[in-house]
Amino acid sequence: MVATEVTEETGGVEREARRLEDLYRAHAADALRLAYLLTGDRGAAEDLVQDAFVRMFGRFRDLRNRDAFWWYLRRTIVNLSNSRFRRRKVERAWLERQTAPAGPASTPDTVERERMRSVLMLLRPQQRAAVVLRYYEDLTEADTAEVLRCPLGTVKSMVSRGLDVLREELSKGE
Amino acid sequence: MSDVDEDIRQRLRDLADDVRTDPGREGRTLRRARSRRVGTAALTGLVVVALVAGTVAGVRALIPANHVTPAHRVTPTPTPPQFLGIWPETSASDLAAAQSSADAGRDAWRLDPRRTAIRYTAAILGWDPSEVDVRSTTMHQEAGLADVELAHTGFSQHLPPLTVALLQAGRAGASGVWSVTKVASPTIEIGAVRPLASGVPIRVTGRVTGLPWRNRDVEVLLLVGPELTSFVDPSGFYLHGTNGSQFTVEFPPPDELWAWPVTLVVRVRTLGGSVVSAQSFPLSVRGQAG
Repeated sequence: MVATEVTEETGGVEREARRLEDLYRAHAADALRLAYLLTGDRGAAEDLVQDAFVRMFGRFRDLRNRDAFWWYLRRTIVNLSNSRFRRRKVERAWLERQTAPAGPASTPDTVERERMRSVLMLLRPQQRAAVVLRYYEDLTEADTAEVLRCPLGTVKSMVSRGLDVLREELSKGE
Repeated sequence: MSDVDEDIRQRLRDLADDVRTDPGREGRTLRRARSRRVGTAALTGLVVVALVAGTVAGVRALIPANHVTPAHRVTPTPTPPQFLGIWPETSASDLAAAQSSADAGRDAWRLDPRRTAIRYTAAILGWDPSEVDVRSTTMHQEAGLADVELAHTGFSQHLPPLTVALLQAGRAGASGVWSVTKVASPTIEIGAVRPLASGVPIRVTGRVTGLPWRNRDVEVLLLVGPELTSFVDPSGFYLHGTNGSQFTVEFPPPDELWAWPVTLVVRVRTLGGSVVSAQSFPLSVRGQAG
């Protein structure tokens, strides 16, 4: 028995369906933003988030614990993102596509975001995940290591080198 | 945090804000999710039915045809634990068998308190033995006592080591096997264990301190037997606040179905599932911990 917030089991199809909807609405936007930072591709991020929710809903034992749900959903998204890059070797293809001229940018903000996205995609998937978890999700180094299932020292190293790359690449355009 | 780092943080936020959820996705996702959940439940049900059927068949095969079920159970009078070990054995007879095995040259790790402690962390905490760092070993040879301090290398930078107390409950000296009697961590404080008396619920209170992880679970288990299997679930428990450190767990009153001796195990997991800290000791029927 795990001592998180557990209440009396009530069950019921309707209640279960409502819980799924509530959890989706509570976390879908955050999940999509995280997936987008990890993949750099909106369509891929949407597919990845859908897969992550389906997996989570299929196996998560207690849909009432929202903190735990987000924790596992976040890890599932990171894992799916890393698997995706490993499995399809899309990163190289994606980077090659980036050499093609981008479409017209409508505002300076859009240009900056596109630049950040391109630079972020220069990082290796695991390194990118470490940077995103530390600097976007504001996880501690220990929690980041837990999500990535790697030693703390590796996280420190990945984040440090990842930031070096980001700083260097972003400074080129200034 | 430098200005440059803060700039990167803000750029990540801006980039993330570039995407919006597609309302059409919700319906598709939830439909897939519901069918997946129903499928999982159905599969689980089938497995449970198969296990129950197998167990019933197995038990029937073991019971002699002329076996007579007693009209009522004999209520054992709870007795203080006669055997102090909590792992790998919880009885003197099992320990004698383990000693015989070691005398015959098997299970050499039982003759080394360090290796026995590492095996405990693998069996009960799920730690990979190659990732366990033994910090120190304090031995009292004549008394057959040892304290082994060890830590998981993945968490050791954040946490003080666990102390695994061991005892040569049978034979002392180089040829005696070691048993774990207690596990302690300064990160877990057990306040009180309410007396184990008939008709009185068992209440375990405590506090988790000094852990760097914001999200964590506290497992409080009453375990029995050499496999340290759980035999009773708490009727309720509380972690005070999402990131709170206090816990209170209440188990139903002991009854005639309880098996003795009983071991209390408190494990702290990160929400990622890793056990990062633990406390364990045998419970006596008089409510004295350890």
